[in-house]
Amino acid sequence: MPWPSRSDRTNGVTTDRKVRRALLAACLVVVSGCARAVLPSEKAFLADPIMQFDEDDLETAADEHVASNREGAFGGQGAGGGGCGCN
Amino acid sequence: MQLGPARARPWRAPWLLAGLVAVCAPRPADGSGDNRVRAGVTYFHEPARNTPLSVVHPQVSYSQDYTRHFGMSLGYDADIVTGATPQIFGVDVTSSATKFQDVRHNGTVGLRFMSDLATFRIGGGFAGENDYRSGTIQLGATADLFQRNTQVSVDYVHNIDRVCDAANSATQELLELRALDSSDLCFRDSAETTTRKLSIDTVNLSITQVLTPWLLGQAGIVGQHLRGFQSNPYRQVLLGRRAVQEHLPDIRNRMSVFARLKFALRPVRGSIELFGRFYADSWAIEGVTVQAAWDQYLARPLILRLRGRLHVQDSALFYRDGSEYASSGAAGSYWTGDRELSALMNTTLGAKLTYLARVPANSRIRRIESFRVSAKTDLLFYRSRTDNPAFSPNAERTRGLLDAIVIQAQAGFDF
Repeated sequence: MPWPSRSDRTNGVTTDRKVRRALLAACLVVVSGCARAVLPSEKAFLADPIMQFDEDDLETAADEHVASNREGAFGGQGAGGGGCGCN
Repeated sequence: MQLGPARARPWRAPWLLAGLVAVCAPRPADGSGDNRVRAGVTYFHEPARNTPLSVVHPQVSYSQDYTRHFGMSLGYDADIVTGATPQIFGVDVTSSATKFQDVRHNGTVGLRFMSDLATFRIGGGFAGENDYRSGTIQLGATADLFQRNTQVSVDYVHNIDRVCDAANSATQELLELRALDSSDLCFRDSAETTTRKLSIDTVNLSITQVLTPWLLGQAGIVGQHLRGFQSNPYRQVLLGRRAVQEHLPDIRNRMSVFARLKFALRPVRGSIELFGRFYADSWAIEGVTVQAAWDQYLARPLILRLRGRLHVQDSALFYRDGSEYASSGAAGSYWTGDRELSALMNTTLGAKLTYLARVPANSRIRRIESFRVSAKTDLLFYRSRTDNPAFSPNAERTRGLLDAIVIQAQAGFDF
């Protein structure tokens, strides 16, 4: 099934254009962080569990399981890690 | 469908399994980071009057780095489902609701190979229930760049799924498609049932960036291509006066982009996370999801998390409500009674309490670094955004003040 035209529902703003705008915004967020490297000595608070994305992987998996069975959308829930940036 | 012995005390199994793993796990490599055991049980309940649904979802996971360069993870979860569902989607959906029970088991294994700046992952899994089987193969890599301020991650997953269906002939007229009555004869040599294939390819790319000493950002894109049987084999849609098995396209392409930020609130020892996602697929569904979460230390070992989530989507191109299908028939050659494909708005409000304690270095429990125990509750509210909400697939489940509840208890430790 081909990708449908969305122009009737979005007043001429196509899905492709929305996606491009979202990607551009995401790139700006990432690039802005490269202006000055954060030093390891400055990452003390970032290493705290409350600064981790998806710190509780069982909870994340259960939440996605509930949502994916009740909504047409999927994915894009993000990836784990972050925090101190030390993988 | 009969439930096995696990139904009797499903909340016990993950704790016992986690304890067994903890006792048997070898001593971790010195200086390694990802060594943990987790166990949890989630209870989900939709209290609709004629079509209630309850799911008990035990989970257990184990992850350990055996050397500086090699680690492994194992996981198991299950769905123990009881409830009632309408077999025919039409103007009078609730009168035909029938009770059902099912159990789904899912096991995963993953290996990881680490260097100083990158991790490579390979894994797989198998899930099985009476009428559905799924095998997965997963490949992934994560690289730490720019003084470990940037983390790039890419994952690919391939699913090989098999779905049980009524033995409808390939040359059969669409309006004569027969629904599956029961899973009793599934995956057996029977003239009543057949097995349909579904293949799924998923690619996930994400970038995590340390923006400042108090701000993290993450953005990514996910693409998925499905080909094969995607209908619910049991579900029928009332087209005019004829009940016909649900019929969905064999091909579906899905895509979502997301971004999120995490702010540290240092003066109050808390953090705030903001999340946004845009979703679109080739069945013409578009959706937006936003979420805000606040983590707060109440005392040093006690963390409170408050969360609000909103998901809004419009319907698939071929979706019609029950009265339209009954009066006008299908829109083209596809028809559905799936609430996931209707226009809807779902709201979630939740709270979670985590007790997170580090074991002192001079403790007798030398192998364990930290313990954690958590409990959470989510309240779910569904609203239909269709023109005739009373005839939407979710009508029965949107009439209460509270449409569903999630309760989760979890325990684990790092070692």
